[in-house]
Amino acid sequence: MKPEEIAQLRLLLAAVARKDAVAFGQLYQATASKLFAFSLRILVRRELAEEALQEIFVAVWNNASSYNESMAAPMTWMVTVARNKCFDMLRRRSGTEDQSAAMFEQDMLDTLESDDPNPAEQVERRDEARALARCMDGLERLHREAIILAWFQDMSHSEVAAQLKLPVGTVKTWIRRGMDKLRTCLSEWERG
Amino acid sequence: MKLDTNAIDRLAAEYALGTLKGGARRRFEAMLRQDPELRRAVAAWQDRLHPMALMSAPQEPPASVWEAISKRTTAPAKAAVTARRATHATSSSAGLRFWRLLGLSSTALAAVLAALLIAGGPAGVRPDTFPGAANSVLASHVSVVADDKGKAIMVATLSGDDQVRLRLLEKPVLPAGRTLELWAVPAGGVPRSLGLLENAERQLRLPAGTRPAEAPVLAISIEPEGGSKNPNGPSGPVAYTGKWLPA
Repeated sequence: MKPEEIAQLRLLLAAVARKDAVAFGQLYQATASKLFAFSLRILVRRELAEEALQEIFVAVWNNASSYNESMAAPMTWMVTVARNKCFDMLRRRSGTEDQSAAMFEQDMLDTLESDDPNPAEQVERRDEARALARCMDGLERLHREAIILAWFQDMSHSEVAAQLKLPVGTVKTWIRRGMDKLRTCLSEWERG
Repeated sequence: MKLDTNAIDRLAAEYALGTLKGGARRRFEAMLRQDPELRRAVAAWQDRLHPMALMSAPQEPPASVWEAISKRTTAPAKAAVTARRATHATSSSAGLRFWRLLGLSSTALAAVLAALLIAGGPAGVRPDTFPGAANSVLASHVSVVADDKGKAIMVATLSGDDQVRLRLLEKPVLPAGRTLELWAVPAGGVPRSLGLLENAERQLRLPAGTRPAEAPVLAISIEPEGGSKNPNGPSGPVAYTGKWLPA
């Protein structure tokens, strides 16, 4: 995301915190399609993703004033809200979506590992998104898989271990090493 | 409990990733409320990981979603219409007016204008009436602040020693009791007020943290007399914006 886009989202969130309904509509139009795609990734079924998107934006409207204290970039905050809402729904429906984790995981790995993103994706993955994709690409495959499972499926160390059929201790170590590597790689990218 | 830097970072990473669960998560959240250093570490990890959410191609949600949201948030019909229109439109509709307002697509125009002004000005803008032009050698950045139609209202020039010169190209007609307030809009953090615009010309020194690299956009909002009561941003509409461009 470009600095001026980030700045604009900040302005919109500040306005939404003051209950500016027009700014809220603008924030929706600027971010809904991204957050809907993200909700679909997690929840797979369209009607669930639509319900999640509704919950996400109601929460944004109600809690925008707490954004100032969050210290994170505006899209980070929106994604954090979105993750929480999607995971709430996932928990409510636990047991009914067994295949979604595996499906999703393959899908996500394919996206990350593809050497040939289509032009739309290339634009989407500029800047931080592209940097993260590159850095994830540099991780060992299982380290990457463990991190992706945890972040997208809200899994604990032991759940990731069960999914990957590996000992918990191993998964813990891999995730920690993977995260260390990610941080180093991303800060190298930041320094250019 | 006091944690060392490594432990803070490890826990923040686990919290942001989501692997910290149950009682450990609740204890961590209690500490988080007390400890700004911990909150910063979590925010840094959330910032690092959040692009994972943005790696799939955007998908348009159906209009019914916004309708349901606006009902539950009492957002008026007007906002709903704007958003609905925008979700159906691609690039040319009125729904995207806001993005033009914030200067995204007027960038090219601003660059041309700035270049002309710096070079000494086309007809209508004589060098001696434009403070940045006379000593353009010294200007490091220029911003042409314009309305949503790309019509410039103010030119700002920045010299190497952080001095900004502002010149209003015209005085907009404002309702009684309203004034213009200038903002530096950062890439991170809340907008910073650069004060009110009451005269045709003004000079100011950029406060720390508001140089173009840190705050790439200038914005002018319409505020009640005395300026926005909200220290973290405009309270009135943002009517004009412009990006800093290297001169």
